[in-house]
Amino acid sequence: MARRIAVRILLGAFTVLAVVLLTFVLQYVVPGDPARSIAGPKATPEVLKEIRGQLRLDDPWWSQLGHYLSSVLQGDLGTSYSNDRPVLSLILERLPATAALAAAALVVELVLGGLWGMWEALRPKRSWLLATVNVGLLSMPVFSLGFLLLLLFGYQLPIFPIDGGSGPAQLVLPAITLGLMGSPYYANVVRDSMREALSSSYVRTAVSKGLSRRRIVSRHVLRNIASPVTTLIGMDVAVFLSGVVFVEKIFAWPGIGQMQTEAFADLDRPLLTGTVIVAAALVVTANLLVDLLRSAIDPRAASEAP
Amino acid sequence: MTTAPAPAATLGSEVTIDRLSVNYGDFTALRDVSLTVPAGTTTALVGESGSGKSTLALAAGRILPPGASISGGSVTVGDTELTALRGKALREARGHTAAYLAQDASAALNPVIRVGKQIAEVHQVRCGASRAEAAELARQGLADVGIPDPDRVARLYPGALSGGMRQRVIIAIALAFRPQLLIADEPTTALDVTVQADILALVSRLQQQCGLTVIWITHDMSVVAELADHVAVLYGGRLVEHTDVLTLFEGARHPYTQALLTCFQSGRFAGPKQPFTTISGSPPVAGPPGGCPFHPRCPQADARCGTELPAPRRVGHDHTAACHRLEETP
Amino acid sequence: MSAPQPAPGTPLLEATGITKRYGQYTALDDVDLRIETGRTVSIVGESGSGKSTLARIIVGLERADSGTVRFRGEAIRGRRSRHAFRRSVGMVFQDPYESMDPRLTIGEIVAEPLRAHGMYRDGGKERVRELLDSVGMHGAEPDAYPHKFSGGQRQRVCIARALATDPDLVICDEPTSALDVSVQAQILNLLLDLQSRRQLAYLFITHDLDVVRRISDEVDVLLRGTVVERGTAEQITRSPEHTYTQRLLGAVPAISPRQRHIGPPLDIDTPAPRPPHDAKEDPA
Repeated sequence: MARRIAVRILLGAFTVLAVVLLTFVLQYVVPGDPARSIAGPKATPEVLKEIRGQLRLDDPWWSQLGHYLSSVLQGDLGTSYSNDRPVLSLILERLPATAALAAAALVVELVLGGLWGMWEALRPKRSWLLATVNVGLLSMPVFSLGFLLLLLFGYQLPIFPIDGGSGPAQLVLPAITLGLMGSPYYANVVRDSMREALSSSYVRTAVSKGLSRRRIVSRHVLRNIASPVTTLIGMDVAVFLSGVVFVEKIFAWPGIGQMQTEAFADLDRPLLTGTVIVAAALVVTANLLVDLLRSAIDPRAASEAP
Repeated sequence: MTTAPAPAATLGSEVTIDRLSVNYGDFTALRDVSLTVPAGTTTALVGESGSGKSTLALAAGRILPPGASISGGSVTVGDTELTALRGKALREARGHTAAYLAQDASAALNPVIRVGKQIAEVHQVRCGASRAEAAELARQGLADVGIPDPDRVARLYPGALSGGMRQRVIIAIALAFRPQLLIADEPTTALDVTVQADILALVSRLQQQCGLTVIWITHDMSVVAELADHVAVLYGGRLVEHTDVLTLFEGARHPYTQALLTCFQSGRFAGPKQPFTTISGSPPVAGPPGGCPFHPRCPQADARCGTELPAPRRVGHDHTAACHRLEETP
Repeated sequence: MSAPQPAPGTPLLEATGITKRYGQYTALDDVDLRIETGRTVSIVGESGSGKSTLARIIVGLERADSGTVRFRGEAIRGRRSRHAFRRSVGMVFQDPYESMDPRLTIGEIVAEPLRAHGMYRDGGKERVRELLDSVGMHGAEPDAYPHKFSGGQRQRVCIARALATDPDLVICDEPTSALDVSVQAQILNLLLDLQSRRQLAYLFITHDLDVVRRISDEVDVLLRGTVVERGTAEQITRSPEHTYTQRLLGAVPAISPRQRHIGPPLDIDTPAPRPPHDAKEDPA
């Protein structure tokens, strides 16, 4: 087990390193002059030259790469062009808001999707209404749902404020949007794995033990479906933490996603690459945690190859 | 294997199956099957696919899957008419009245629960034992079925056990109830031959010690020869012959039973590279044809066999067979 | 394919020193195997003995850590010789349903190996028909799907597929253990019949000692990756020398309730009834 964890950590570190290298290459090949975007269109050639010197843009590529890698390793992700502050601290400032949104959205989709899936799995007949809602949600673009909720509960019935604050009241609408979008996936996974579990031979053993239906579901079925659900959670955590651009933008939620849109508009390269690297690190960590969690729940997962 | 289960009084009860029919939707998997299993004895149910033998086992244990229903007849174990029970009474009868041994032990154990816990659950939930008592009883149960080092094994997940060990755990679960009837649904089919021998020996030892009543489902005549006191042969969802094991092996009357035995015995005795004795055709897949279910494969079938269903007839002491042509076949 | 004529006396298939490890676990340890044209070699062993691994290595589904497999005296190495070898060897698996794609018709299933070896274009359709006839599937529609057929019929289709490229060797991995008793004998008869008609060699993997005795020329008993005993079918099943082989045979349940050696003793108080007209008495 310890060896397996070590292998996973090493693999994760490689992944992050690969992302760092990729961001460097991207900076290199993306058109546009960073010096120009810092100094503005009216800057003189001398000013540009000075900035280029500061940014080492005229050094050979390997020297730039070495410098880049060593500063990233030291936690220095560069300085934002647009507001002249260290990228890392800008990201860390936004991270709590994004994490809060991710957690809230996860709770919504887990509760909603889980109950939905269980309800469907335990019903003998298929519900056409739920199937329609399922397909509807799966095919609805996130911004349509976001705007719809915003219009209904932000403007028409102004229950929830949308003033760019990061309090619990402002959290409700974006969390519901993300949660609603994600719930059909959870419902499908829970429904299918639960149906499979219910028709399995070990559930028949549980029935033959004379256990109540409630106990069969809570003790024998749920633990078996925990593994696929945890996998789904891991994927979602990664997506949510790396910035949910549309939802944060629509509801003016001050998270990483919103910052990414601004960085993109300003062509703020250090900020953009910084968010990408932080996202990669978060994704890797989330995956590692999910993997450990799965091994703890399901002995079969513990014996899988790393 | 130092501690044997307390033999106490005889556990087993007489089992009476009376004109039992089971349907899967419109399909009748089992029709009008009647047989009696005397207390403390083993009856083997022999048949091929589609014979209804597993359906009979599941119906007798009242654990038919959703979609299947008992459409007629009754199963009585001791004083309990199992087929009349509903809801909580039914749940409480499961296990205590009739316990079930599944064929594929690796699938029949929950992969994410430690084996000790899966046995202890029975004592805890069904018999109201405390956690510690239940754990001790589970450990005891593992020892009773010949598992070495039960303390260690109790903490393992099923995935860490061999096939034979898993089957022993399944047996321990079933015996935890001290059941009146044990229904064994081909529990050795998936096992290696030496492991099968161990399990057969274990079950027969336990049966002698506790006086269990056993219904043992199999397709393997050699298992029947080893274990059964009585044999019921099923074909196409019907009981075709029922008698004691010796009479069956030495004086079978139904053409299907005779053919099955000839197949089996010639398999053991014919010389190398000699053709095997076969029964032509294959068992009915989509439900038996009209008339006698065996008539399309029967060498002795005549016009009557294709139209009229033969009723089981007494052909000797404790011996019934369902065939129109019994007079002609001695 | 211009195969050079092998020297006389060369076995059809010869595997030497096959060793396979999975991490710490040794699945096969220095196993040799020899199959002559038209003969049947059975590998008997229980789960974990390495018998299936050996079969997989021989057909090239898995690589051995060391050892060589020679076919007609030529070592099988590299993609080309493996492809050519695959044409000369067929495989029949335990579960006929799992070993075929349910979305293909039985005609397509039988035609698969023909297409893989570029043999379908001329006369493939007739060949498929002929193959289905040869396994006793007369009148079966090649356009029908596997689910329409019984287990025995599906296994016949699998045998037809194994024979499609006219192989010299067929590897049968427990070909009857998923079938009904009354159908098993039909499939074994078919395999015996095909062997005598086509001079096929079989590598038979099974745990059923009754079957082994009837169909094999030579038997190898495999225990935890090593061959512990090798001999003719007669020797192995009548006078086994290794204690493991003896244990295997001792574990086979009785032929009659009068000869129980595993189950509870039979309480015989009734005299044996008159034996039926065609039941054979135990010669032992």
